[in-house]
Amino acid sequence: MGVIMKVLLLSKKKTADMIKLKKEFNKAGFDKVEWRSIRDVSLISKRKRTLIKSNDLNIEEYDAIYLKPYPKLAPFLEPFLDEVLTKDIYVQVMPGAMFLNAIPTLQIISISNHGSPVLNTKIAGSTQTMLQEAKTMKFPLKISAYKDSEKIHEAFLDSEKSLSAIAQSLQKVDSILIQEELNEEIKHSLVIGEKVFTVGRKITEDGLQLKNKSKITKLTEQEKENVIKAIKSCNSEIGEVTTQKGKIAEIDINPNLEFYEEKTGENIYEVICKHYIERIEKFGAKKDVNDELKVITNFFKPLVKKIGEIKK
Amino acid sequence: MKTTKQKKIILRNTKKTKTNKPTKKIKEKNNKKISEKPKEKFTEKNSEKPKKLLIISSKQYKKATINAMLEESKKLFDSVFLVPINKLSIECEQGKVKLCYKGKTLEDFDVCYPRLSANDFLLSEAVLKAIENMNMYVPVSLYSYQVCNNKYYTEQVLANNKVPTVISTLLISPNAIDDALKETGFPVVVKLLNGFAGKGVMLVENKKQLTAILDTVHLFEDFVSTQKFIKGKNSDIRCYVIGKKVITVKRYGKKGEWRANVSRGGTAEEIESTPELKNIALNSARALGMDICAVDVMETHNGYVVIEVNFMPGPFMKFLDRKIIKEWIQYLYKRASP
Repeated sequence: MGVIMKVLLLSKKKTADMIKLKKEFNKAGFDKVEWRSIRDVSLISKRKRTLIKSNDLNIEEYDAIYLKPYPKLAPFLEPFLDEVLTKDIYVQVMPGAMFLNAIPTLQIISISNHGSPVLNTKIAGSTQTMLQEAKTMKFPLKISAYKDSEKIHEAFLDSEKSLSAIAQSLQKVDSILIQEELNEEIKHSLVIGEKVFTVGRKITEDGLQLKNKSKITKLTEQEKENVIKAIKSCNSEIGEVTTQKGKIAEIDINPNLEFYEEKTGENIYEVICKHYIERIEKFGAKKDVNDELKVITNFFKPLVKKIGEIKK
Repeated sequence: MKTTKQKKIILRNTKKTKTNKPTKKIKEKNNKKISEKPKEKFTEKNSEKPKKLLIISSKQYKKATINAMLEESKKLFDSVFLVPINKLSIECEQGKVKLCYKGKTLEDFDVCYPRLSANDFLLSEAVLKAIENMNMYVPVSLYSYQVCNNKYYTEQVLANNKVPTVISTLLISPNAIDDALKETGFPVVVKLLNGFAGKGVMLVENKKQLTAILDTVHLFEDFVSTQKFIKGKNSDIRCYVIGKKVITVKRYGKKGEWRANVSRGGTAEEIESTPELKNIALNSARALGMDICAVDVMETHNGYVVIEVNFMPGPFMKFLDRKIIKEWIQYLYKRASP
């Protein structure tokens, strides 16, 4: 490898995907692969500088961090990512990604602002506005209602009657996402850097297949380009993009890696590991070969000292 | 005299014109209106293009503040629209993002002043993102809104930008409290991340009390920010930043209250600003990307420290009348001019 590479894995718990990822990083010859619970990390902002602490953790020694980006932890992870960025550590998600992923209305605007095709979408601040806006849209519609940061209701509507019924049942909402559904196959793509793995759900006589019935499928070159661009517009390099007829419906920067491993038969963890090596090599590892020599010298220093003492 | 119905603020077009470009007659009327106000400091309303202001208010806005803002805006701007955020909609179609009201695109505004509270964050963040690509001046940004709504994040951004702050920490779970306490010690101020107006702030004397609070907060999946307690003089200084101008106001807390928030029953008075205070306030605003905000500062034995930055500050009308509002509107008008 020529360079010493150290990676830190951060998640709430040591889940199966984190264990598999750790194994892959070790297999790839990383010099240090450590897992820590994000719950043990604290941020300390002192006069004119910020520290990231977790017992004896020295975050600055790492070249990269793989972070499980839980949307609910956005208020903690955003300042954390901001700080990590200043320490030249590669993370698959960048500052801003957490807020974009936690707020779906914000996410869809961001994707659209970056020029990626999205499903025709309208965002309303009240049921009254929703009814008004839906008039100009084509059924079937998907309605997702949010209160605080929680999705409190999701419904697929095929008529104005069902829309009115939903409007009556929705009390006190903060925002409503209205999307035109296309009655087409839904594709879920896992993006890892420039690599894309896609599975699809077909519409059968019984309706749309469940996600766990998804089968491996492909995207066109243009679609592939769009999903990679969409993930980047969410300030991430790894994530799941849901599309319908090439149009983006949703992005999740915290994808279920095990699902894709099972459905595609690919070693997703190895792909992530290769992506990390590529990124570290591109931006330069913190320690070079000379540092490796220093490490060896330091390792033998006490031994040499002891031999000297014995000789005396 | 306006009827109650008219007073209801849903959307106001002060000139009652449906077109974006006012007719010659309206333009003359507007110019006449301005010339009738000789006392007004700002008399730049002689440019050819009519100036349009869009004010986006939070769902639950303070009527007195908004009404005063509308009245002051009407004195300078040719057209003023006020829209509460929940009446807005955002359209994402064919790669274009549009901000709409009643199905019509809100465009051609010179200035937009979003006065949005942390309570409406779901829609507010979407609206702030949507207006990023609109060709108009906005004195705040999505970034500033996100950072100001997180008390710890604000302190971190300021500290990293060499603005003097108080030692602050942010934790997800009680597991990490020991590292935080090493820096702050006791007594420590515990803040809920999205508290406001002095709410969600506690002064904790010992670890037993702190553990109980952290366990409760953790149960509700909230975050805790701790801050080193600085013994103050039951007062703090609010610096209103309006462009490059800083208006300084001293706030006194209610007797027996360690928080100086005016909303908790304190008082306020304008004081003369010092170059140091001005510098701190302007640097804070710059670090957070805001032209209009309020920076709350505390005097310690080590000098001034910033304790909070407000995205949507109240104008303290009870103590300062319309001074702050007038300054905001004049600044916005200035920015609307080419």
